[in-house]
Amino acid sequence: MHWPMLIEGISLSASTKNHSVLRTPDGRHLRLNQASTTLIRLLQENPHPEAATRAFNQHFHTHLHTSDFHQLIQHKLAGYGILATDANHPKRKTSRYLSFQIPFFSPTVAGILATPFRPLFKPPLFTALFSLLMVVMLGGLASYAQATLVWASIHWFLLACLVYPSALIHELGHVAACRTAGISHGPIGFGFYLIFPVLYADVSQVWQASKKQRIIVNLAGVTNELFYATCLLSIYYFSTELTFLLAFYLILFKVLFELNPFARMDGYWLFSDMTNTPNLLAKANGRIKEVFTYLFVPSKRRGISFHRTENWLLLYGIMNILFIFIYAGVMLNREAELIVRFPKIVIDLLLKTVQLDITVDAFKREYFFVAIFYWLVGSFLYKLIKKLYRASKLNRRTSDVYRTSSG
Amino acid sequence: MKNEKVNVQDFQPALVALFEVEELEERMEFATWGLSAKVSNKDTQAQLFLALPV
Repeated sequence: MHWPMLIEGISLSASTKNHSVLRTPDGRHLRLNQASTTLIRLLQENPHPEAATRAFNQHFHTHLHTSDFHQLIQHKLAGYGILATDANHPKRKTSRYLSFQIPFFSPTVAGILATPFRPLFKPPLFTALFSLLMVVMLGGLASYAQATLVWASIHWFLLACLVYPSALIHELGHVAACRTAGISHGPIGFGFYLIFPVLYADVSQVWQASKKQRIIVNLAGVTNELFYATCLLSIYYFSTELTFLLAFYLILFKVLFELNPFARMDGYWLFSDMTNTPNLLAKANGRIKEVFTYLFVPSKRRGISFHRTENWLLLYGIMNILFIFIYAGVMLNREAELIVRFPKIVIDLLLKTVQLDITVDAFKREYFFVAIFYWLVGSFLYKLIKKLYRASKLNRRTSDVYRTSSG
Repeated sequence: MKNEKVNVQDFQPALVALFEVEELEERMEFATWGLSAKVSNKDTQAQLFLALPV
C-alpha cells in the first residue's frame, strides 16, 4: 500500500453548489461531486492511511478496512495523474480534438497583446456592449439583402488584410476576458480542428471559474470580432470604400457561424455552460448509442429513462448527426461526378506540387467541400469498421470461453 | 472474515456509486479563417465564400 495517496500540486475549486473542479499538475480537469470532493479533502488532510480511513468511516458512516478504503480510492481516482501510484496504472483517456498544435504566443505575450481589450470584459460594461453589438449584428444581417456590393470595386488584397486578422482578434478576446476575471490561460497557437486550420486559445482553466465568468469568456471572442467589425463599418461610413463594408458583412457571417452549438465553436461552449452540461458532445453521442441499443439490440437492452435532460441531449445528438447526413446528401446530389474524380485530382495536385508546377488557379473552391465530404464519410466508416471488428473479436472470445468451459 | 479478493465495488456498490469523477474536455476556443477570395484570370468575377467548418 502506497501512502500518501495524493501527489502534490492538486488544486481544488468550487464550480457550482454541488460540484467542484480539480486541476491536476499536468493540466487535466476533473469534475467532482460533493462526495468525491470530500474524499479528496480527507486524503489531503490525513496523510496516514489509518487516520484517513478513520476520517472516511466517520464522515460516511461506514466500516471499511484500510485495504478496502485503499481499493476504493484506486477504483475511483487511479489513472488521472493525481495518485502517487498512477505510474503503475494505465492513463485514463483524455479528450483532445485539436491536432498538430503549434503555440506561437506564450501566455505572457498573449496577455500583453490582449491588454487593450481587457476593459471590455468587466461585467456591467460587457453586458451593455454585448447587447449593443448584437443589435449591430442583427441589423447588419437584416440589411445584407439590400446592400449594393459592386464586386468590381472591391480591393481583394485589402479585404484579406481586413478579414484575416479577425481570427487573432477573436482569440485575444478570450484571453482578455480570462485576464479580467483573474483566470489563468494558456498560449495562443495554430492547429487543426478536424481538417480545418484554426487559431486557438487554450482556456481550459476556465473550468475552475464560475458559470458567469465562463459565459463571458465564451462570448469574448465574438464580442471582440463584432467590435472590430463595427469599427470597419464606421470607416466605411466615412470613406464609402465598399471593401470595408464587405469585410464587415463577412465578419458578421463568420460570427453567426461561430455561435452555432454543433461544432466545438464558441456556441458549443456557451450551450454547454448555460445548460450545466460539461462534455456535451460525448454525452449526446452516448445518449444516442444508449437509445439505439435499446431500440435495435434487444440482447443488450437495459433500463432506459426519458427525463427532460436526457431528451434534449438526444435531440442535440440527433441534430448533430443529421447535420452530417444532410451535408453528405447535398454533396452527393450536387458534386457526385467530382466526388468520383476527387482521388485522381488529389494525386495530380500532389504530383504538380512535387514538380513545382502548381498555380493558385489549380485549387477550386469545390475541392474544399468535397474534401470535407471525404473526411466525414471516411471517419464515419472508420469508426463503424472499428466497432464491428471489436464486436467480432469479443464474440470470438466469448465463444472460446464457452467452448473451454463446456469442454 | 471477508474474502481478500472481493472488491469493494462488489460488496459496497452503493457506497462506490456515491463518488462521481468526470474528466472534463480541454477547452480550446478557436476561430477559423472563413474567407477565401479569388479573382479569375479570364474576367474580374470574384469568387468569395465562407468556408464553414463542420
